[in-house]
Amino acid sequence: MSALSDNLVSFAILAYLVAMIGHAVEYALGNARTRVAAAAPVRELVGAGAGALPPPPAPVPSQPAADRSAGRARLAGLVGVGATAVAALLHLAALVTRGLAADRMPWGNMYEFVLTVTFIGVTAWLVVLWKRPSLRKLGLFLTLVMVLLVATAELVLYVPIVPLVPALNSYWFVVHVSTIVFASGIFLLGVVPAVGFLMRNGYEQGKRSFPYTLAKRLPGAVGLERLTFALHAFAFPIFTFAVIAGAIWAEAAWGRPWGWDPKETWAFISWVVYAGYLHARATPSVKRNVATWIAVLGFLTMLMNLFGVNIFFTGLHSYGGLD
Amino acid sequence: MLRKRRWRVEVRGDEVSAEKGYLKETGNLLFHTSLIAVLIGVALGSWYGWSGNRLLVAGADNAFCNTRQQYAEAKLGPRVDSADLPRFCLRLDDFRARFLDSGQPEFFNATVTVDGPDEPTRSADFSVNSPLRLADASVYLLGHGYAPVIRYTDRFGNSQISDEPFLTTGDMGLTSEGLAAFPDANVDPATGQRAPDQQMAFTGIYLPTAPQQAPFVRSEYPTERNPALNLVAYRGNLGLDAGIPGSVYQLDQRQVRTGKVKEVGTKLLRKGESWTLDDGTKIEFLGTERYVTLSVRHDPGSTMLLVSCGVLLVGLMGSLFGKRRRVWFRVNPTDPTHGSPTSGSSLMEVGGLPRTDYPGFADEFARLVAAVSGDERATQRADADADSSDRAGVREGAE
Repeated sequence: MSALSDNLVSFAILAYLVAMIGHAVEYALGNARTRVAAAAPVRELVGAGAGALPPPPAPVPSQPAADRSAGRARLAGLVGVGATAVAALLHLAALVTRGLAADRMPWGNMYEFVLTVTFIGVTAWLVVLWKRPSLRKLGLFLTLVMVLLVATAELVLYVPIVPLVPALNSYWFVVHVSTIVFASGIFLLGVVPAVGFLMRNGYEQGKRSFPYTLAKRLPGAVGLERLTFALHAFAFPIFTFAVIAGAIWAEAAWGRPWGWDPKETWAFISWVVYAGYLHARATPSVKRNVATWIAVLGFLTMLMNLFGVNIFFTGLHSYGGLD
Repeated sequence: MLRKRRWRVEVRGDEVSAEKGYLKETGNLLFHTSLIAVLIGVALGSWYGWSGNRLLVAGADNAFCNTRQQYAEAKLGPRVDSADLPRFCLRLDDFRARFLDSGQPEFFNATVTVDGPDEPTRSADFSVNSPLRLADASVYLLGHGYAPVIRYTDRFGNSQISDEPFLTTGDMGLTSEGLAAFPDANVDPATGQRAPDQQMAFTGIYLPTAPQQAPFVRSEYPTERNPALNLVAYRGNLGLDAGIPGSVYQLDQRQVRTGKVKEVGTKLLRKGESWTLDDGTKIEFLGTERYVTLSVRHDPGSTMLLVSCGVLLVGLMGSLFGKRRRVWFRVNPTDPTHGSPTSGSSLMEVGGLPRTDYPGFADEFARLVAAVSGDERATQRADADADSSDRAGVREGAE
């Protein structure tokens, strides 16, 4: 069962790679198509502006070559989405088999933790995609992140299955870790539209230097910004609850609700940064791209907490399983 | 009609204004007030709370009572006096641990007898993650180890027993280091004359599972599969009478350097073995007792922390997901002198404004207007109105 889980992870990485290639092909074909048709945004992207954008430009002049190319681009994008869904299923199967093999929730060390966080992220992405199909082009960034994170987990963080140490053997383990994993997954997903917004926003303001040109075929900035906020506003109370649950558990396990353990400190930093983002977003005088930069900063603190704290610090949360 | 839909309504002449979504601001206030309450809870805990750490060796002779002197390390809040500590005593009766083959711990459990004026006498179990809750304190299990029981028989035939805990060195196999000191050894029972240069001390490494061959410095497993005690014997003035504070777990190395304490031999002892030293005195390794590391704490602010955290969450949800919005209705009676197509009717102007980012407002507004006018045509008109006013509102809100 344990070996099966390992194989499933490898297959999931392959499927994410396929998805990434699919999305990349869509991107590339989109290029070709723009050149042929010499027209502004691709048709399916226009809807994403959610009413607040200026009305779509006149329909692209229909040229057979352009249509064929657009059809192929669309097909590649759909292949990307399909492969992401397959990858997510393999990913889920890997987690389930890992949990069955260990006879516990698969959140006992850093390897399992990263696998779960990334699974939450990709599931939330599929849900978002289902509700707003026009965001499909963001899939390239998402699958890139997935390939990097899951492959890092497999190559660097892997540890064999062992039961939980007594300190983790509590029902708070399920409450605290599941909510932390869930909130982390949503936060990590939130950085995709955040970065997309920053690039697209620059592009819409007429910037044509390197990173902004990538955003040429991204959905409209307003929709991306709204999605960024929705994801963060959704994850924030869950994260808050998770930290509080952690404090209650810490009181039972270590005798104090809060002790400035490295993990606790970094969770607090993330919490403050994300609270700063929500405040900035709610303050009309703060520009939306400033607020979004704060969200990106929050993402960096989450990464630090996920990897840096386990690798660079020794604390009470040292369950990573790395030496 | 608006009131029935839980809008706050104000009527001024021919105008009606209504607002909904106070939950957002209420939640906001609740959230930030409870943040302050969290801080007060922390402050209460540090003012009126106290904590102490110590080792507790199994057995009736090693029981301890909750006074400040009994702790190796005690921290009392500024508002707590030693006399305020609740009076109870703890005795470790049993400690059980289970380990995997790799040496990773799987399960710990300590059984203690609680006793004392402030607590009913009883036996209680506690473990990691489920502390022992007393009336005004909680007892946490932090660690465990072995205390070798060593009997020394001096040249006059008097025996003394040491069961000082040996501290774990942090490895998987619970290799432990410690000291058994016998400062009262070799006192002549006939004269009561002390012999300071004849005091005895043994430093050593205890290995719960000793390897099959030398070097005997590292235990291979945390339970006692092949227990062995690697001892170094010292004789001389241990320096304990000098009144200088020192560790009870280590030999005072100054005495060794100055030659007042001399090493007299080393030996590996198995359980039950004895070792006769050069002067005919004898040391025996009788076995081990378990010890646990305890933290005893009292935090009077924790209830307040918990409650304010709960309120904080509720307030946070309200402030994030509440949606404030306003609507206005103005009724203009049509002027009969200008000739109305439908005399006796009135023109109603309607406006709406979402105060926050709320894409669903247009729909709600349209439904509201339709319900107010109760008219199919108005519904269609309201849809168009709603779109434009919603957009105006979004612009306004974004300023």
